[in-house]
Amino acid sequence: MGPQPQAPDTCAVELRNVSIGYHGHAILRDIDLAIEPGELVAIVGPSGSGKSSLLRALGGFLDPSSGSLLIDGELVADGQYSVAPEHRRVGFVFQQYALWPHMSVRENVSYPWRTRGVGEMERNRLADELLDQVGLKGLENRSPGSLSGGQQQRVALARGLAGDPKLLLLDEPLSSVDAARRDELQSLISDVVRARHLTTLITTHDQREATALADRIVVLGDGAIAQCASPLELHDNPANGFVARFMGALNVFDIEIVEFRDGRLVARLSHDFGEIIARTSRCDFEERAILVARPEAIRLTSVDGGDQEGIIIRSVLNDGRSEVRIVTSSGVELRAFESGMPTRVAGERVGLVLENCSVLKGE
Amino acid sequence: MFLIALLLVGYPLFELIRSALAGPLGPSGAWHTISTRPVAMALLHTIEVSAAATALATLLGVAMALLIARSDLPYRRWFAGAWVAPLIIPAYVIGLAWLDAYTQAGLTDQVIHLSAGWIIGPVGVALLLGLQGAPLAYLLVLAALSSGRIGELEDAARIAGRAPARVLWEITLPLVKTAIFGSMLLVFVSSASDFGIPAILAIPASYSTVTTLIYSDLSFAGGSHAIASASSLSAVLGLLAIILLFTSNRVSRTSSSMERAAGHAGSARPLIAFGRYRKLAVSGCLFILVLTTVIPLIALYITSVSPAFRLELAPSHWVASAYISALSGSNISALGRSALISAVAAAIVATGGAVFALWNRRSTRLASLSSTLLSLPFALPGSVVAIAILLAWQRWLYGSLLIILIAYVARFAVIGIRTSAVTMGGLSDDLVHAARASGASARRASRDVIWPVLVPGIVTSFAIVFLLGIHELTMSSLLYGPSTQTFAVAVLASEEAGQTALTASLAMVVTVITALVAGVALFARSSRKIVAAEAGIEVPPWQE
Repeated sequence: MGPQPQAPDTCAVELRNVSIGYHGHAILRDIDLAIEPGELVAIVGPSGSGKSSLLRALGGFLDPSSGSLLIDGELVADGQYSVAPEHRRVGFVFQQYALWPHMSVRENVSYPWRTRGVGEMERNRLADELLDQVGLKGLENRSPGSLSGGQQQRVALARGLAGDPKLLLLDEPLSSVDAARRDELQSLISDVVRARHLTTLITTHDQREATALADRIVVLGDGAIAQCASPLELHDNPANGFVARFMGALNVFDIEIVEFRDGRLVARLSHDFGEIIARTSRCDFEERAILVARPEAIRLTSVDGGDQEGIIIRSVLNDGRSEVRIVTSSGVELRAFESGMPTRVAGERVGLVLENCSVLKGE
Repeated sequence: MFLIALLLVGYPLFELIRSALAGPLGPSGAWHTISTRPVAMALLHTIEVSAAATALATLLGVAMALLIARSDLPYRRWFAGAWVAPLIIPAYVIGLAWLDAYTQAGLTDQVIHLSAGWIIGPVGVALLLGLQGAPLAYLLVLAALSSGRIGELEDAARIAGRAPARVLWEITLPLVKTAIFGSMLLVFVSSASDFGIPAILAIPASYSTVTTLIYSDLSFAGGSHAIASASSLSAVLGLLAIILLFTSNRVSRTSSSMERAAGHAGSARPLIAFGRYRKLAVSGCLFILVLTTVIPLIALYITSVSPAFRLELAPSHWVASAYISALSGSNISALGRSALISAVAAAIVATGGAVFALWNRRSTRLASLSSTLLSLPFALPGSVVAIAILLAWQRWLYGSLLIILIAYVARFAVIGIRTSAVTMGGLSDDLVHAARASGASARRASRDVIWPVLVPGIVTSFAIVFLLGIHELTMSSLLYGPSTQTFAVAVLASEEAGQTALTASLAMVVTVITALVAGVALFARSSRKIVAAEAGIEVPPWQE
């Protein structure tokens, strides 16, 4: 099943200079993006950033106002021309499942084959096989309404995979599923699409979900691609403060640089009082910049042993390590991670070294 | 579609207003008509009985709703259904049944020598209108009681130390007061518009209301003068209805944000606890049901099988002769005619509603204007709609079945539209998108996805409109011609002719048909998985 791997020079999905508008109001402007066959790409961004519109444009439910959209090297939409959704051979999984209430689970899943003229016996067999793979064996004859949210989304996933799509699009598939089921579904999605070598685009507003799932993440902000890179790269080298903040960085500061010498940066906060001293290998800027201090790279030392002094506000258990909130003597609040149980006591005085910081272009 | 709405509703209403203001009498003539003594009396009477009915209906309705939603009354679920069951019986049948049960020589008079002659006259009209309005008030107040976080607020007051009775008074009632007020306006309008009950209980007492005056104007007086007078009267009645309904809409809109706030239904701890008096409470509720519905229907049945002009209690003397004449001759053809136009109207309304809903998907201004126009006739009193249709189409269609059919379609169109709109509401664009992404063309997606979802709604509105059509008295009584008597008109005619047994058996026939159709519809609905049309129409139709 699934498409054969393509010749390396054909992209599975290509967006050239795509703009999407709605009632004359531009949602996305001049997007360029190329996705390799078999790649799993997550599109993230705050709500209203246009990630759903991008997916809907690929599905054929929304036409770009300009630019060209290619699936499998074939032009599916430009400003004038648009291939109807039913001829694009994509699977689409909707946020609210969108299961047809008058059809059984099996009828829902076999429908993409039905529209393509596959006989009843054969399409039922294929649907049952898919349902087995998503862990719903035995529920084939139930009506979708009788299933739990997580189960309904599994049915929707199976339907998205049915009919041998060239491309699978998932629009916030996990946001209406309760937290307990989310991890399971996340690994299920990752497993089934990778096993098929199926090119997949998934939107989410949860950067952790994106990091866990994707080969590559596209961060959308303000109608444009803010950064497109692997999860690791995004974490280590965010292109700007917006990406850093969106990817969950805890200590991000707008700064004015006072001095940079021998890997030691002295800076003032732009919008607030306070001075901060950080260690970084690179600083390409003279005045305004953005400082990202990684919580796991903040070292807590004896009172005199650090670049600056701080007082512990409190420390709590977070994901198996201890998260410490500190305020420096000049009034800057920082969060640091330490391994082990939270043992720091509020009011304790420590020295602080902010290792391995990144300095990004100011906004 | 817009053109249809215009022809069905816009043009007749325009004609009505024109005739009221610029008829042979002119605007001053219209005022003159209204201020004549019989008309003023009828208006006064209508306001009188409607106000009394509203008070009674509100008291009963609120009490019933509190009992169902906030008490530990046993068999609450059963009662919840039993309270609204009388809604599906036509008002004139209830009126006839009360006559047979409680007037002189009626059932109670024969058995325990107790009779209530005052049922014929204003008190009886107000009482029966009130009983008919009570389920309406009950449904609206119940909806308000079971939505929102009122339950939580009550719990909070009890935690704060308030006793249940004071919680009811200080928290519950103030929170549902907009619903109560809204239902009062609605009951008032439906009482003022009612023709069935005054026709049975007011006409014999020479007590005129607006609807009976319109009827006697048209049926017995005739001529252009009568039509002008009737149209001025209906314009006044229509105006009154529109103003009150508009107010009620505004009231419920301002309250909706609070009442729709999501929340838990509150604790299972009832505010009204009967404790060891539970059996007494159940007996009380049963007694009211028996008194208002069961005994009258039994009396109706006994009358229908008794020999003419004499109530016969011994089953050995019962005869079926009334049924034989009820189901033969002109009566059976009236029944057939009613069934035919009701079925045709129901089919038009149900499928038309679905087509309209599809068209309305891309909600345009024209579509919403059409939908407003088409919902007007249902809100207006039946007499007003009938006069408007008569003024618009009598030149071509007077005395034909077609004019009755047009009236039915115009009046009930909103049922098809709303039912389909509710079903469509459950149909998100994504369901269609999912079909398109699965390879279905636009046409195929609507065949495979949209229509199957719409079908239960179509069936539901067909059943509702069919029933309302079989029951319809008000409009038919104004529009029928020599050869187009409908069934309800036949019942009224036989009552006016004093044929009690025949009238009772005709009324029994219509009741049995109602029960059958309602039973089938309920069965069909519960056997279906999708109850998208569950919400259906929020406002149950007021009685014909």
